[in-house]
Amino acid sequence: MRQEIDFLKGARGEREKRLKFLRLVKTFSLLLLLAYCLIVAAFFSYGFYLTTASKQIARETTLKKNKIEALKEVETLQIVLKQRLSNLLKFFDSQKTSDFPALLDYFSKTTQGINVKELSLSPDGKIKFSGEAAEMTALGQSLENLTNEEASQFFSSIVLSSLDKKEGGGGYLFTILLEAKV
Amino acid sequence: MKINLKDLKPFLLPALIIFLILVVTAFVLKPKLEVMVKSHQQLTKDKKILADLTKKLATLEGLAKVEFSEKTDIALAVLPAEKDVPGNLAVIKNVALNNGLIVNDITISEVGEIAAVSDEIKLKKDAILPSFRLNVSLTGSLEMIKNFISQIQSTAPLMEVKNVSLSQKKTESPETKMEIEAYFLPFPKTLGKPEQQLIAITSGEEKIFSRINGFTFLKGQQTLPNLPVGKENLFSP
Repeated sequence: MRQEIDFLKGARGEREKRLKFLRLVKTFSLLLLLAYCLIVAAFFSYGFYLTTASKQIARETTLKKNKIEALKEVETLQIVLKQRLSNLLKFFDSQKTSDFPALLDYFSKTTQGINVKELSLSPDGKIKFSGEAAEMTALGQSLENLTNEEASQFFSSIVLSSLDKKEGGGGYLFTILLEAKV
Repeated sequence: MKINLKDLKPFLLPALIIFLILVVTAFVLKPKLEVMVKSHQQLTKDKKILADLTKKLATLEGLAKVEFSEKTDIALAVLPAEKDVPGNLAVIKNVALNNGLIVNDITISEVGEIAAVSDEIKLKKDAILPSFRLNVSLTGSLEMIKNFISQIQSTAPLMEVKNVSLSQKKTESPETKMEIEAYFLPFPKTLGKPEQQLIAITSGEEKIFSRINGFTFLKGQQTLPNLPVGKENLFSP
């Protein structure tokens, strides 16, 4: 029986292994180049998109600005109106002064028979009311009016500051200090 | 150990590819990348500006010019852009006469500059709006004074009665002295840049408009009335 003996078997196996490795390196490097080319292409495409989009947006921005410029008058009206209304809103919200017409109305109704000498009202609600009553009953009625339930809606404090009888049978002079609800 | 150049030949292509990648990355892609990052950031900003402009344009196109013009006229009549001394005097005179009151004296204090832009106006302490004061002396009954105060505070231009002092000597009609604060508001210094967003009028401000729309607007307010006034130094600083 004849048997073949391959004396180069070991060397050939190593060469095939080496060739296989080289083929792998070559394939991998070509694949790497391909992938890199794709990345570069994508990169430049995105760059192109950025340039185009930027130009498009610049065109649209100019167009919108021109349109807004044409509506400048309406914009000015809106800004002026807004400025005035927002300031008026703050102004009316911060108003904490006495309701002078209501207070004067109340005094005119409740001081029958009283000769009003002085009536001063200040925005912080302080009121000085001086008058002269010919008779004690008129003064009494007036004081009663100032201390009844209706008066409590207007005033937080009522103080009879002075009461004098005029000499020679005259009337009564009085001063009342009040604090109106603000 | 001796290196055989023939052995290295198969590695030439991969080495060339890697070299090419490195060179292109370093000298082409890297500088381009920096530019592109900046371009991307700029594009994002530009897109936002365009979106804001689109929104603003849509708002402006939705505004009715005639309606806004009328509303602004009313707001300007109530809150003039400048110290409207003749207008204020005319209103005081007209309202006083309408209520049967006699105007004894009107003194205007601290009028200062007639016109200025809003950020140059120095506001009084705790004040919301710039103003000047008028001291008014009137003769008439308590009822007349009550109506006068009520009407003066609801007539354009905006005025507010601060202090009221009524005095009566013997049988004469009572004399009332009052301090009236007259308000104004200069125009804003800058009016609308295209990029500046429009701030919409709120419902609270709409209510305020309804309130001032109910004010009385006297005709011919701009003429200086012929009043028997006391000190009337309109232009002293």
